[in-house]
Amino acid sequence: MNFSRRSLIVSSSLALALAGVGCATTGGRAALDFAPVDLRGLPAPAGEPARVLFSETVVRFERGPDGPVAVETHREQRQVFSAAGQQKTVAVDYGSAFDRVEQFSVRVADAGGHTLREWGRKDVVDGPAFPDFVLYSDSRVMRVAIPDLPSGNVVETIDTVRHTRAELFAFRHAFGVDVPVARTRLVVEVPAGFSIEHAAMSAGQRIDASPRVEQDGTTTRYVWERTQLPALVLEDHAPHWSSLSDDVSVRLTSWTDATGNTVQGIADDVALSRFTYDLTAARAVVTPEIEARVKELLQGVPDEPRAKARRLYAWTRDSIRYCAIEVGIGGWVPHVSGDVEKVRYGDCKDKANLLKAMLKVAGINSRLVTIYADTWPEPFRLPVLVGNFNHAILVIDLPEGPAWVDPTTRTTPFDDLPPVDEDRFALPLSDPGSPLTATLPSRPDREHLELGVDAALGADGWVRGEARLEVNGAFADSLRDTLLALPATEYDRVLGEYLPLDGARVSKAAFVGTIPPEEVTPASATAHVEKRVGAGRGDVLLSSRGLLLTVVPTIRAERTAPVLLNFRQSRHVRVNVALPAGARVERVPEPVVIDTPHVKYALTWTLEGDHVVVDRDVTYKVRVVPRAELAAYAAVADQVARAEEQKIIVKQGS
Amino acid sequence: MNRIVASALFVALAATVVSSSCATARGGGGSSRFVDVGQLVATSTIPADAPAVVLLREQVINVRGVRGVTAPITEFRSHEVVKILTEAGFEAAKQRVVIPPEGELAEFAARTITPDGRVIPVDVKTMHRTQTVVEGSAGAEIRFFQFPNVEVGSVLEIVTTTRTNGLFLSWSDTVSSPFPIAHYRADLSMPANVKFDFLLNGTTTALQQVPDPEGRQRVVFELSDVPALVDELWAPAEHTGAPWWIYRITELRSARGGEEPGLVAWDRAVPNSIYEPAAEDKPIAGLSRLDAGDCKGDQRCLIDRALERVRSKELSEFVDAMEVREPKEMEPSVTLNNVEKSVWLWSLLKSVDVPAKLAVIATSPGFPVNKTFPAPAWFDHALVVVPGQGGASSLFLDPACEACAAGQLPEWDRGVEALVITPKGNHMVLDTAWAPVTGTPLSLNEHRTTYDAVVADNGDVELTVDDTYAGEAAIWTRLRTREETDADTGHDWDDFAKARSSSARVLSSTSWTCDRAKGSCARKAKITLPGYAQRDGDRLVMSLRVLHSRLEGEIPPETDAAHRKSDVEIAHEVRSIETLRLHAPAGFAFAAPPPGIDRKSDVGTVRLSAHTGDAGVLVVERSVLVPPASMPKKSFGALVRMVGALSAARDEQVTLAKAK
Repeated sequence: MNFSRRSLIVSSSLALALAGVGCATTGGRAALDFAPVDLRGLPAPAGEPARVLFSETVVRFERGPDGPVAVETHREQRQVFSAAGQQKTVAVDYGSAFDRVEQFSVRVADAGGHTLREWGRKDVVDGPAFPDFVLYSDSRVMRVAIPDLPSGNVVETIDTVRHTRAELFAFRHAFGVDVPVARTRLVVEVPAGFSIEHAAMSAGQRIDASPRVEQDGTTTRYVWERTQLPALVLEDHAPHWSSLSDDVSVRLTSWTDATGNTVQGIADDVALSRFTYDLTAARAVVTPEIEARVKELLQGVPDEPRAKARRLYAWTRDSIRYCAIEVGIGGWVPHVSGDVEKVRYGDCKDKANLLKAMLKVAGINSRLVTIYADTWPEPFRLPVLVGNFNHAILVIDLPEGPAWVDPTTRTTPFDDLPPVDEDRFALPLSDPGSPLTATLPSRPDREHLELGVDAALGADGWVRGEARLEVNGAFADSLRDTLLALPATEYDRVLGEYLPLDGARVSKAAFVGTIPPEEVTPASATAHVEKRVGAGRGDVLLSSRGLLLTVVPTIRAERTAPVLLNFRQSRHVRVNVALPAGARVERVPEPVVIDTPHVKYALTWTLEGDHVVVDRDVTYKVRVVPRAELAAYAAVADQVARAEEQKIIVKQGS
Repeated sequence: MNRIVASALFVALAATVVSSSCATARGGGGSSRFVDVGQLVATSTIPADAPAVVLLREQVINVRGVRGVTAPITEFRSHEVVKILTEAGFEAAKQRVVIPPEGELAEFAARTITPDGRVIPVDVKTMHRTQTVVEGSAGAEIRFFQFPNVEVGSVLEIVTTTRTNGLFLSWSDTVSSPFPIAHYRADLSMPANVKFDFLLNGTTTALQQVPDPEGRQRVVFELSDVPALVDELWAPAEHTGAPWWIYRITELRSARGGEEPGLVAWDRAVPNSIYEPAAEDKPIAGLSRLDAGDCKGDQRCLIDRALERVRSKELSEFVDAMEVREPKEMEPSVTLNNVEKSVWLWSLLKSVDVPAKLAVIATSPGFPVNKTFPAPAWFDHALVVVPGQGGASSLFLDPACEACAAGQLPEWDRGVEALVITPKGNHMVLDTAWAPVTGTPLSLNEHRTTYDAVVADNGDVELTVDDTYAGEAAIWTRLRTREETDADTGHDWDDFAKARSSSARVLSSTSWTCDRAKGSCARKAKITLPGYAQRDGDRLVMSLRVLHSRLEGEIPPETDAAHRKSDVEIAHEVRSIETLRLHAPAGFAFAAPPPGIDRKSDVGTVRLSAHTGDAGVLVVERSVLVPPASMPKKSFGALVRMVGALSAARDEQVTLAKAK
């Protein structure tokens, strides 16, 4: 799958590429001219780094020689006020096989609209566009470098890309970017005999946004337009701002072919499942080598489906290296399973598809599943092939029920999923078609971290002692992932990063259970830890915050972005500190217990003879705090932060 | 450094072929291109702290066909053998082969050897290729492949030769890679009618001049156990962190053209980007000129005006690639890089007949230019020099230091020698001379943070923060923050507050504002710290954790100096001063101030002092000074201890007692 963030924003610029489809001709359309710069009615800039004066996406559907075509034009005028607001380059993405860039024009103008510099196709650098994790793809980008501009200059961009197989795309326009927008619109031109469907979303939630509909001869024009949009802000523990804008997506639902017959597009998620299944089904091929491999792997494994599936899953997870090569249809269709088994590398769908073929040998049915895997998954907008999903996993149909697996992960056990796959809706691919289906949930009882520290406060102001860590579920997977990547000389540092102790030195780290298991199994570690909490003279102020990392992020009062808390999880930490001889603690803070729909938090200080014990329990009950609940969450996060800052005074002497 | 002057014209011909202990061709995998991996592993040091080790990296540059041929061919052969030690080493299995424009891939072979000894060749059919296009012309071609059947313990071997037309007058390359290298070998050979000189830096390894039966001249060197390049605080720059080499062609003779001069003197080592304007010796067409105003020919007045004019375009980056854009790109841009600034300053001065010259320097600390080996690869910075009149010393101008007046120099220029470029009068011919860069230092270089902390009797603290940079530190701050948005700065302030207290909240803040001409940057904030001080009966007890310097973030308390991998190269002085003014609540007074610290070591100085000031305000000042230095990695422990001492001061207690 293509994981490019940009590809999801401008979905039609993906390397979409279906085999055998050729490029249509342009029909000799004239290049579009730059627009006048019109600042009338706009307020004086008020500290923003830039503003979009005007942006527009025009999608015009046409009948091409081999099916429907979409000609997509983006225009933007951006006025720059500081270095923070200027793009270093402007670019247009395209897929080399089935997209064609018809126009790419850029100019810099002064505030009066006079052109200062202009670039055209002859001035571009045209090269591969794929991200680093992809070894090779046919995604390309044309770009020009823009010099640093004086305040007030305007950068205007026009690009037109012609897409074949337009029925496979959703064309999306975002109403809002990271700078204020004066005016922006989406225009969709639909000829007679064609029909469209549209969906509007805001921060992942569906909203109502009806277009203005105009008739121009036989063409119907749909227009969505917004003005005076504020800048979207990037927040901590939040989705990227580009996921928070309002947006409208449009797709083709039916069209007439050259003979005048009406062709229906993919109707819904079930039909999309069936369509994608048809693309991929022939790739799970059982070869003699695969048969032999399965036979070898299942030697000694109990003759029961779960045990066999678990073994085959673990081998695929462990033995096939992740390597993405996405050429044309390869963005959506796996390589043939026999090839992947032979070279021992492939991407997510290659690994899932090989496992499917191996399970077939073992007599176990399974289905490829497409999913949007991310900490903030893109919502399913419209039933199209491109843009809804960025990952492939597998659901294995066992007699006792379905088992979900993600063979792309390196450490996640059987019948479990990594956090980016959990709590999502995904689309199993099947011959009759399957609906969007909920994946496994993250679970605080499984995603658990337990830390115990027995230590002593020395006269030098250092706390030194032994730590015991046990992690399960996603915590264990993550620890194992890291250990597989790093040499043993890095283990102390690694454990230091996993312990929720703030700034503690770790030595003598020892791990148990670090080999990726077939079933969910805890991993554990022990180490010597030391941390300075005092200056080595006088009283010592000791707080939870002084010992432990904070775990409930605070947010600003003006925040509008949802809070991402990561997966549902629980963490329990108990730190037992022996006081130095002659030292005393006269009082400890009152316990703090908070239980809300988002978070459960308990902090307790106790005095046990000459020991002081701090005990902290934190559970994330939700993954995301939605916009409507931010105020309630903020109050709780502040309460937690204050609790963490409560201090005890360790007094030396009488 | 090590150097050899190789001239096949004067080398006795002998049928001896240099043998490389690590590159014995034994036909592994059915191809003579491959090495005997078993022998290679047996002779290699396998590091315990790396995800992969390069068992062999061999770089061969081979120039062919110069005699009587107008277009010689240069072949670059690369042979690399990598052993995977952890799963992070799998990255080495993803390969991209870049073929230069108008070049070709003349040789390709690759294979995986699995831990159990199976040899699996890379199928050329699995390679993908793409072509870049630059302004309508074909650019580089890139080919992609993944090694098959890769596991921890696998050995990956690849041999490529790319061939391109032309002859490179000079070439430099570094030895190191992201993974440690067990055996490195470089092999350069030229036809008999090309003389070249070779310099190996950063090692005492001997060069081998290899007799060649065909009269070709050939130089080989081998290195062992080259550490990996690592991304660490104060890791050495490329040219000081690992061995690197340069070759230069000193003479070229062909049947058609006769003898042609090579790179034998510093005049031809002037970087291309400034060679032409320096030789032309006139204002650059397309760049704006200086208005002499009311200077009436006064040279100092003209220089000041020119510096001010160049300051109108902001420094965009502190480049080391000596790149200069075309005037049509520079003119509309509001920023210029260091070299462009110097070129424009020079052009402005030439436009008003100030006899300015361009000069180039190497700013890397602790690694002086080898003056006997002219090559452009040394240089990473440009200056302008105005020769002194009437016996006065020359005036060095560095427009990258926007706060520097004429005659003032930033730290990176001080103590180095510049190659000063003088046109000869003949078109495209230059004279060069070395001269020490002289000038007065920029007066102040520091980061100063002042905190006014008003303590309430419930323990809450209201903090007013003034954060300023001055001098060179302000230049770096501006470069670092010039593209930050207000939201970015807001996040920075949030982090600033949370580093002091988890319950801290930023009440108001400003973004960085910099005065480039004065060399200063400043920002302010008001922050509330609920419960910062702890009430204890009639006392309030608080720590000094409101103090927190950038250095403590870069070298946190958990840092283990034993894990330091690279040597230490501190290119820019760190001088950080924090002043905390604590205001007691009504009815409270400070008990004894915390004890002072004055710790000076070879690597720097840490100080803490406290006293009671006016109106009963307790004033605490903490500072750290780390001067520029180059030191071995074992000295990093001293830096960690020094920052630890700085950090320990945060745990000192301050007590406020209620007045009886």
